[in-house]
Amino acid sequence: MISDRTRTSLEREIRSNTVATIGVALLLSMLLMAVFAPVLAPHDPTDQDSSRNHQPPLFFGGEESETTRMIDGEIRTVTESNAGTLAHPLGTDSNGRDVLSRTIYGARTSIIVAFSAMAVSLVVGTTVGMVSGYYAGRTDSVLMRFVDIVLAFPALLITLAMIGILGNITVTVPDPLVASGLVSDRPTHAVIPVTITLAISSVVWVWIARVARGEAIAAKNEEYVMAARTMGMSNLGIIRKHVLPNSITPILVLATIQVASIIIIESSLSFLGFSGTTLSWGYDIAAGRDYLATSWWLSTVPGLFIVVTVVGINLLGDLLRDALDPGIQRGGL
Amino acid sequence: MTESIISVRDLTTRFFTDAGQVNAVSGVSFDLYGGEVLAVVGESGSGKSVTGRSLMDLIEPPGAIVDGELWFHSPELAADLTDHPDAVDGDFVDVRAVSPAVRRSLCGTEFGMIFQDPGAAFNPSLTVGEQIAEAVECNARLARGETYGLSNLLRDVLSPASSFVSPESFERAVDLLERVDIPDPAARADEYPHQFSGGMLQRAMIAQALAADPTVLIADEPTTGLDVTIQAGIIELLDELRIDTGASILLITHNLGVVADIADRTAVMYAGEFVEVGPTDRVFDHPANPYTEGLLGSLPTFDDPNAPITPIPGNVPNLLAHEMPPGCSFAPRCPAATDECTATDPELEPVATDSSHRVACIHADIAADAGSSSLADSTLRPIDTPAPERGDVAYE
Repeated sequence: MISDRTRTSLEREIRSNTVATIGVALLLSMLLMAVFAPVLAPHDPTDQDSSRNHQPPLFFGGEESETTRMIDGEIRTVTESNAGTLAHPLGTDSNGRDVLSRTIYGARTSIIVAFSAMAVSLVVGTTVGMVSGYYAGRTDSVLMRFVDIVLAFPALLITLAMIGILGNITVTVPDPLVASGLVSDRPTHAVIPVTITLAISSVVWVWIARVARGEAIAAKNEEYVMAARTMGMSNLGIIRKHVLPNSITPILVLATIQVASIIIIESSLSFLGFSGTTLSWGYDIAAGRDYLATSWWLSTVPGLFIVVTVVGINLLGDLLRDALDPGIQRGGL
Repeated sequence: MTESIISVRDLTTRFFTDAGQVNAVSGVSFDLYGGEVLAVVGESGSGKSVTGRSLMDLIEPPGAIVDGELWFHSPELAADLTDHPDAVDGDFVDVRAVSPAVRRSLCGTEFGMIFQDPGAAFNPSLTVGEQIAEAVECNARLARGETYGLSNLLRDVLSPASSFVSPESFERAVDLLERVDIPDPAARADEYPHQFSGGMLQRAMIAQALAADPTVLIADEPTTGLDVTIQAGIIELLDELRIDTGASILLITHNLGVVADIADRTAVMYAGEFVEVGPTDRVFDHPANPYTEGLLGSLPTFDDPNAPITPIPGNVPNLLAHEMPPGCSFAPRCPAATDECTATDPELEPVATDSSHRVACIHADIAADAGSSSLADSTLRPIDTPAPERGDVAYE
């Protein structure tokens, strides 16, 4: 479906647009981080050690304090420094778990949920939009009124309702990197939150459907669609051969940018406690909220990762739009 | 002249817009004979293109064909449709009375349509060869009774490598491009529409229309978007194809020069109605309708460059039903108009001197025995059903 022309303009855009290149680099590094989490994470993200809890990141902290410790069967008062160490460069949380490792693993949840929810939304939204726009009339009215109803409610409300209906469904899959014996001492299974994915898809597909419908209406009034009808081509054939290929670009651009919103919705849900897994950025932000006054890094680190990912995706979306929309002149707006 | 291929009776196409009901085509009747070129001429907005599109079932909401019969000569289909006695008359099938799927399949196998703007009639994201091959493939599939269904769609989406067109269809597409005199057809077939010039693209579109070996070609302003020098080539090609393939051509145009070149018969359209139909030389040399006279008078002539050009005063009336002038719709602009003209709406009637030449004007010299409004040259059914009351068809 990607023509030579599209590829050339994409390549040109990447070469000429530095900001967009940064976006692609940010997103790629997040993807690599998610895929190779077991290799990159310095510790097991679930490994607890209360003797080194609330340790600040490297170059932070350093105050000396007196604590009581049980050493060799005796209770002694010792002077300890809480300075950050290289072993836990981004600090530890209230259970002594490594924040960096948790954040690296958290990328997996966000990215799996974001991409699978977008895949579901794309399939459903594009199908509904194409059918609605192409067949018009009553079909269009019924489908679009339903879309309007979904759009009328706050996204979070519908996802929470969906979670209530579906219950907490998760799929546990073995981590291929651990299973192959490449790394040990890491969680052997990854948890994919199915409920969250479906719940998020139930609000995102309507945006795709709206845009797909508009594009289908524009494309179906083109003369080449009439020409195809005079050939005796069926409606499905026309949608597949003529309407879809000429509508797909804006849909893909929107989908890219919506991935960023999905990551934010996923984090919000995890923050509210509906994550399905405890290895999630939103979950860690929520857990760190109680210690915000003393251990700021607990919420800040996963928050920064969300920002970086969302900015990266938005820059990629801009790049796609600039490269694929012939209406936008090169050199920015 | 041989048997008729298409018999249109009382075709009425309306558009139901927010501004009101537009009577784009009001009760048009005509026959298209085998191997002939019938030109439909008229000003912009006279309903010529809507007539052509109505034949191809290309009227989209808010428009609709609200009345009329479209009888197409198709012995095979007529034999198949024994359970639809209303839709069959001898070898003819009324496409308005059959299902949309049958209609589309008939259009796909028997008709070829050439559009006005070749740039818009090709999908910019597919190569020209691929699109012509698609027409070949569609026709082959229709002939086998296959349609592109949900299973094809799923297979197409799940395996991007699967191709709609077969290599044989693509070869045929290259042959078709060669047939319409495109140099180096094999290389050009792999090019995209934007790499073609307007004239070349128009030829490619004719090739696409020929994919089905059509018995009827409907050419909707095939030369309007082209340079004058290229127009002549396209017209020549159409004429050549008509002779080679024996296909009839319904040529919709406002270019009277083109009409004079290749049309056997000419129909003049005004405000959604045929006002004059006849052999081209009769219509051009002895126009019976003041409107036809006006059209011809507004052309410059090569014989006498100093002859004044006489434009027709005024504009084509707005086709909104409630703004149409009463009686003859040309009356407000007609130099010969009388009170009688605004009182009665004239029907097409044979001219006294030649029964193949018919005119809708009460001042024309009409044959004395033309008591009924039947089509004098009709070899098929006469018009005996009265025209429907205006506005009696509700739009759903």
